[in-house]
Amino acid sequence: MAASKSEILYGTLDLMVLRTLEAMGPLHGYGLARRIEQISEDALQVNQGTIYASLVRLQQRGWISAAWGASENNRRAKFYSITKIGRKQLSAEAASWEKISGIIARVLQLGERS
Amino acid sequence: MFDWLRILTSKARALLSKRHLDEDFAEELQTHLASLTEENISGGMTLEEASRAARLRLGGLTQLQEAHREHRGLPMVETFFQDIRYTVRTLRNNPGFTLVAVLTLALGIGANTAIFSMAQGFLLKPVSLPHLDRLVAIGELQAHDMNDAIRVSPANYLDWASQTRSFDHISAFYWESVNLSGVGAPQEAQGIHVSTDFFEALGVKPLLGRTFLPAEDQAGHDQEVVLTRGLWERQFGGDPNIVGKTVRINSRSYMVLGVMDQDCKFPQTVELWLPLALEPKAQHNRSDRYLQAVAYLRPGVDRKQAAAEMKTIAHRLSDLYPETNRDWTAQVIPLRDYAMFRGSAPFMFLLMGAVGFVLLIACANVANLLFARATGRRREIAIRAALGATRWRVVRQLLSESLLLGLLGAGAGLLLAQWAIFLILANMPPELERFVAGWDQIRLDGTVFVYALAVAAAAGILAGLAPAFHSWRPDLNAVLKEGARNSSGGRSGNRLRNAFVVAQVSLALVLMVGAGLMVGGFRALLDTNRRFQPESLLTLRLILPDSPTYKNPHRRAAFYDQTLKELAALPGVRSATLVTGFPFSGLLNNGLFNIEGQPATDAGAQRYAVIKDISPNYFEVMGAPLIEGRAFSDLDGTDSPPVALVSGRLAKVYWPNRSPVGHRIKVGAQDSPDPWLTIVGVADDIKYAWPSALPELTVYRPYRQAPENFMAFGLRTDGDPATLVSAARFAVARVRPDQPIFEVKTMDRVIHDNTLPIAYTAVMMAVAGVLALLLASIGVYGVMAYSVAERTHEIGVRIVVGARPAEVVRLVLTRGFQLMLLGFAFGLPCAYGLAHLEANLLAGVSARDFWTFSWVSGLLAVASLLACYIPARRAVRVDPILALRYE
Repeated sequence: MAASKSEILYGTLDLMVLRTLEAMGPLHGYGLARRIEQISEDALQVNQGTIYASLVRLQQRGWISAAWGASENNRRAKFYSITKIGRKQLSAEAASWEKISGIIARVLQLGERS
Repeated sequence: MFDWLRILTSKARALLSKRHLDEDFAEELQTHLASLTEENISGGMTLEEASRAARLRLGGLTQLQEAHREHRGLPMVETFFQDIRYTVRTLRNNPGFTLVAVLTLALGIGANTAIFSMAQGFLLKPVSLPHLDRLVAIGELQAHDMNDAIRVSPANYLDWASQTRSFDHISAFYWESVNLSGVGAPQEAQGIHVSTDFFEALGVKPLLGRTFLPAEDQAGHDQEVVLTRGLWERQFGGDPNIVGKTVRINSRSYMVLGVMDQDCKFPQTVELWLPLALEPKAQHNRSDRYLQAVAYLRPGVDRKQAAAEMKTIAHRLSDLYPETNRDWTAQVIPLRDYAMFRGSAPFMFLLMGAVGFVLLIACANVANLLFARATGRRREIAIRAALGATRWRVVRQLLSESLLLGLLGAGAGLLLAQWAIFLILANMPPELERFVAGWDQIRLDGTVFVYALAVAAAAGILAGLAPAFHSWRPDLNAVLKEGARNSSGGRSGNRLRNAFVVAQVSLALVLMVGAGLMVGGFRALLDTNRRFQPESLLTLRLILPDSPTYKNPHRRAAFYDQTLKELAALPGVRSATLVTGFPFSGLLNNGLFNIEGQPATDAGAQRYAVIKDISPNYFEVMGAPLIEGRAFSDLDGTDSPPVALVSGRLAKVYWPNRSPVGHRIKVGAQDSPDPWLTIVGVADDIKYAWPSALPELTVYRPYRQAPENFMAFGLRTDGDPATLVSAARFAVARVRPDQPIFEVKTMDRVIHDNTLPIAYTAVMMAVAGVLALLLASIGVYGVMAYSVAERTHEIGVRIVVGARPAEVVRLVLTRGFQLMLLGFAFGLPCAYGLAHLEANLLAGVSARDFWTFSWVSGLLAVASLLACYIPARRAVRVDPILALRYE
């Protein structure tokens, strides 16, 4: 991910990851990427690899944690799950999330429905 | 809230398990890729198509890895570590260069560290008390007073204590040498009487037992004593049940209340504390200022405010009691300054300056080395620049190299410093240690460690800065095209190196002159003492008790008469003399004196002189001839007219071109009841202490006419004085059985002990001077060798066209000689300035010491010309064919 991309985009992706993990429980990178692609309806034209930058940032803040496990296909995969601090962060900033227009709102609604 | 902290720790952790995390992430990406591929295959693609599409969806693996690494860790730190790794590698590949540079820096840093730890002990932590910053000493001060004594009279002290609002505790004390008996031989012990809140004021608690209670300062309840740990261990064998036991002090029984810890060494030489019991008469005494005061600043009050309040109180007192207090004010000084070993500050600054110079010379050497290397590495640097390294990156790389050298130097330097401190401490006689405030604080501690690191960093940057910036040439093409051999540092590089040589020579010159003068001064000091024949003079001191018997001057004189007789009669003793304080014994006996008919114009012009009370044969024994008039005789007794002798310099100052004989002087204030003394003669000058250049103005009185309660005896012996020590003890005991004597040592020893600070300074200056000479010679050699190597081609051409070897040598030497002369031109005036400074510090140093200036200059000139000559010789041996092929 290039450094010139705006902070908003970083933040947006981070929030999407957090929200997805809260809703879906532990997921590996591929699963997360797929999920976000699905619900954003390909509105986000980014490489799936971009998700990993977001995962590193969230891990560093302690909002998510990671552990190795077995995927559906019995592959060794790293599963990410939201932590207590992450949840707290999520709910604390829920109000400001509401204000974020467009895509985030849609993503949140879609996420809840599915 | 603590996000940044959590992020930082996580990033830092990531740095440590780099490889593991890389593998981890690679595996994660592989899983991702495999999942994507599977998805594509199930979407109907062939395996090949599927895996290509998967890669596209995920993004470039290398870029992802790189971005991941960047996000995960601290890129700045990582490049820093890269620099360090690279540096370590280059240094390891050049062990010779590294060793020389590190050793050079280690010498500089080690010397600085050792001296700093001394300065810290002497100047910053002369006493280890918990709240040293909040403690002050308070004293009365007369307007125009040149002594900064901290003295106060009892009545004024009591008024201070009741009126001041600036202090939590204000405590008074005075010294008394007491006779401690009942345990072993009677012994002289340094006691102080302290008011009962003394220990609270200092903020110290006893190791055993307790300290004084408020009511214990009443006369009659004051037979109690608190011991220092040193005395307790020495005299009482560290008896754990000492508290409550009785000791005899001045023939009275005292109960031991407690023992203080090692750390409580204030005032420095104290051995036991007694309560300060002020009798009613003393409580109204305003004129005898014999108490000293320490106080603990109340929280929130600073020293300036306290000083202002004390001045106000002193002013009020001087209005109320003009008779005793007119012109007296009060001063408040930090206890640290008060406790400092007197006179150590200028010597410490001198030494700090000296080792600072050594470090600068060392830095110049290392800079030279780095320069030579950087020039050799210009191709490498140009290539790195061509590959896209920024200027900052290259400079940082080179700086990190010199910084690392500095740190390695600090490591080795700390070892050197530890060794130096060991040597310094080991040479101090144990009986002297307790007199030198801060001596026990000299060690490598955290502060010293931080200081060493700071010095190392500064040295590293200083040495590396010029070479690092200089090695960056923007003109890459030129550098890359140039032959690797012939790439000289260019003209500006040469100029800088020459500047280094000039600076080194001048710094070394200043330092060596300083060292030469110091050593010379110290030797002159010892030489002037030769005439005392100090090795065959045994001295001892005693203090008469403050008892009714010895309050009577006749009894004191009689005691001295008899003791002198007993001592002189000892077999092996040629003659016995007495004086209130021998030269260099630490007892100066400074006092006020006045001349009849020449009153001092105002308080600022008060006349001070060293006042010595002597026996008639004093000058004979000390080997100082009488210049004029007559010596004292046994007829100058209590009932004969009071007389005095003056020193040659005093006579010259107050009676220039005239004879002082027959004039009358008085020891004490003009209007004091003291008698006028008729001058009967002039004695040759005797130097009594080292701090000033000129001999002290001295007034001598016959001891029978002014018998003080303290006295020093001197025995001129035929053989070894040491064999007479116990005989002398018995002789004194025959006169007064329980009279303690102390400091029984030869005059040689007395001089040695009291000039030790000078000896230390002189030795350390000499070491610094030798280091400077060595390092500067190496520096000159390095630069000249480099410049010869650089000019190999030119020299080859010269030889081919017929230059004779002598001409080639002259060519090289001329260059070195010019630089040296320039160095002397800068160095000599500075050296002269330093010489002036030292002349004020130490008797025997003269700023116009032509001899020292010349031999030091000569030595430095020979050393640096030798340093030029060796490369010059090498230049002559250049094989012209080889030199020309060099290209």
